[in-house]
Amino acid sequence: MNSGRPTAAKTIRVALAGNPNVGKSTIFNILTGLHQHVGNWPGKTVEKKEGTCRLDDYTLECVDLPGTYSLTAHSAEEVVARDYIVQERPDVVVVIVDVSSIERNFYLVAQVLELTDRVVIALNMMDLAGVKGYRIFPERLQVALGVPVVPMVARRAEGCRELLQAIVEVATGQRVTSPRPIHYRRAESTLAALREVLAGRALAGYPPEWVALKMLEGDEEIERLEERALDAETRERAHQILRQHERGPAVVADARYAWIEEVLNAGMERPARSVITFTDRIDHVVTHRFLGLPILLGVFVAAFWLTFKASFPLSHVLDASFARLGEWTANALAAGPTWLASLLTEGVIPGVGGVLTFLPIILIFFLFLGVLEDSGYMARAAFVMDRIMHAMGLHGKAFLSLLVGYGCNVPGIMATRILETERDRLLAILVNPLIPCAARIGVVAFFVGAFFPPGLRTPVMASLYALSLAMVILAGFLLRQIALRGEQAPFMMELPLYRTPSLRNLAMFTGWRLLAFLKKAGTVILGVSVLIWLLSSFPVGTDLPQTYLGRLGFWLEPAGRLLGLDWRTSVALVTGFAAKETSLATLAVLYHAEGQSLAEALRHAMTPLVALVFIVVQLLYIPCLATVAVMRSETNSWKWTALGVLYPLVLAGGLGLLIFHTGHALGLG
Amino acid sequence: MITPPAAISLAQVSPGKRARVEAVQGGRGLVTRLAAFGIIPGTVVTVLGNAGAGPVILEARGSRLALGRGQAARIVVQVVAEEGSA
Repeated sequence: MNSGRPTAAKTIRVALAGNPNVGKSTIFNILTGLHQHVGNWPGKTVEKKEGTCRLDDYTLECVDLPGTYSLTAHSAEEVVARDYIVQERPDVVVVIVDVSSIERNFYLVAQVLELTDRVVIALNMMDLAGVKGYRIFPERLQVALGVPVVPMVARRAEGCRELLQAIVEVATGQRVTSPRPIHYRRAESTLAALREVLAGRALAGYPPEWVALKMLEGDEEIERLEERALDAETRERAHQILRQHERGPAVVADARYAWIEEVLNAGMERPARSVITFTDRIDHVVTHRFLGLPILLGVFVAAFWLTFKASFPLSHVLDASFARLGEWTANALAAGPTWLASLLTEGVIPGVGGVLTFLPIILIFFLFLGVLEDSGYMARAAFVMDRIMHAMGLHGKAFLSLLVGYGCNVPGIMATRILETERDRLLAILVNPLIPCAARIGVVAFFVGAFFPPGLRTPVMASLYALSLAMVILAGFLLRQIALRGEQAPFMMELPLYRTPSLRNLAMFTGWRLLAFLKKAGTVILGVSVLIWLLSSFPVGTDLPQTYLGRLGFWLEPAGRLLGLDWRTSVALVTGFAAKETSLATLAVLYHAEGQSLAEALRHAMTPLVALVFIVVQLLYIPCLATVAVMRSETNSWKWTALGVLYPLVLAGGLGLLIFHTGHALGLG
Repeated sequence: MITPPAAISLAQVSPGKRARVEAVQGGRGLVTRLAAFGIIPGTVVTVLGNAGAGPVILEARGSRLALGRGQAARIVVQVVAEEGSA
């Protein structure tokens, strides 16, 4: 392939690389704005973001590579990132560096420079250098590195123009890069011998020097490549060389850090001992062995409480607006066909409207989570939760995915992507549906409000949250014992410096999670609302019990009766599969009585014991349709998806039976 | 009396102490992953939090990280004497 630089071409292909949480997405968003496309890397559940931006006559096609700490083959993200650099040969690779952890961040810089010399370094978060007592001299770093270095503060959009300029200059060859070579010292002779063995072999586009290095590091992907690309004799010779070098990975890492040390000594001043920061002082308290957990509980209880307090009036307004929209539609269509008015006012508007009233809860809840994430507290929460998460066979990092699940399980399951191993991801995905999302809590809260006196409502809700959490831990424990055995992934997590959350990041964090929820409202729930309307309207001219929906209820009644539920509640549980909030709408249709509110009608129709059974069953019984769809796409397996649907059903059914029959025996029902 | 070995695991280092990494007892996977976080033989780390259970918080090469107890137990270290103290 020709590696000549495009001089006449006006399109420049740029890849953005960097550690997680260095502001890579922020920079990508500033550069590409709305001109971006989000998808998956082929065959991987790793997000691929592409976008374009312009500078003068040049069009820059940017790819946001997944955030990685290194370019080994330990995770799908790392393989995606390095394969893109090797196989797609972008014109420029930008490595984004968080200067508050500059030494560790440069480990990735070293590894990228092992693959390509067309690199630009973006020194992000320059505003945090002072906090650590660092003095950084970008020009000196640039000289020491041999590639362009651009200081930036992405949160304030500072340095973007300079970054684009540097990219164009490197791509067009106006600026020639000559990276400082890394000397592998003790491994140099081994590498030379390996290079000699590999010379002239086809290595799937990988440079032989790099393959030699990776063989020394014991890279699994490269071992597979060897098996395909090399004959037995060559492999034997290579392995003979490798056997003489026991501590390969450590020697290579040592050489890279020595190189980093040289570069940083030339380009920055650091205090001899690290300074005590604001972060140290906060961490002393929030990660305290006794105080850590109470503080975490306090933070999340406050977040939940404020979410419901703040969103209630907004939900109320939305609810009233949809009611008015319904009336207005009915009036406007009074002269039209009755079926259309009925479809809209009894199917579509209450169905979709019912879901959209949850929008404020989800929005505000995700805003809170966004603040906790962007400020740096979430990493501490993961630390504090690590021991508890171990009980369910996961480590602290999985905690965030569970928390997001409290808003909506769809983004919750997508948030499991931060977990490194397949097994951990599967487990975190399978337990997520047991976390009651805002919609389910809405239904539960309605029942609790209808059946419990005001003084008891908060304790009952709190016990229900605790019950679901206990079920998550139990399910996680059992799944780990039965279906997902094996060694646990190591827990290694960066604890970033605390900082004021940026509006831009909050908008990003909240925005795309909200989008996942809205998509569900616009597609699945719209469809199901229409379906339920059809089932409850046909055959035309019959009473409710004779409609298809009514007949479905009679079919289900024997199963429901085991739990004390009548046919209407059974139907509500079935329609709740479409979307949990639909249960309430269904009950409203089925229990419809003149001059009576739904709460009153329910109190007449069922005992408090049966209501409690319904609450518990509805809290746990089955992931909604949208959640099932995302489980399928994230696990890429029908088998695991089926398990994820069936085991909560068994769990909820079992608990329902237990409560109903215990209550009955105690004379409560 | 047998003198206790000077090398202990990182999980046994109390908060505030500095320790030099001697070796990582684990497969290549653990070695390369720790290397990406700056932990290789020779690195001096400061233990910031160690409650005797649960993960250990430490500072390595200017960045702080939480490390699972199981992983910390596989890192052999030697506590570094504080300069100025005896």
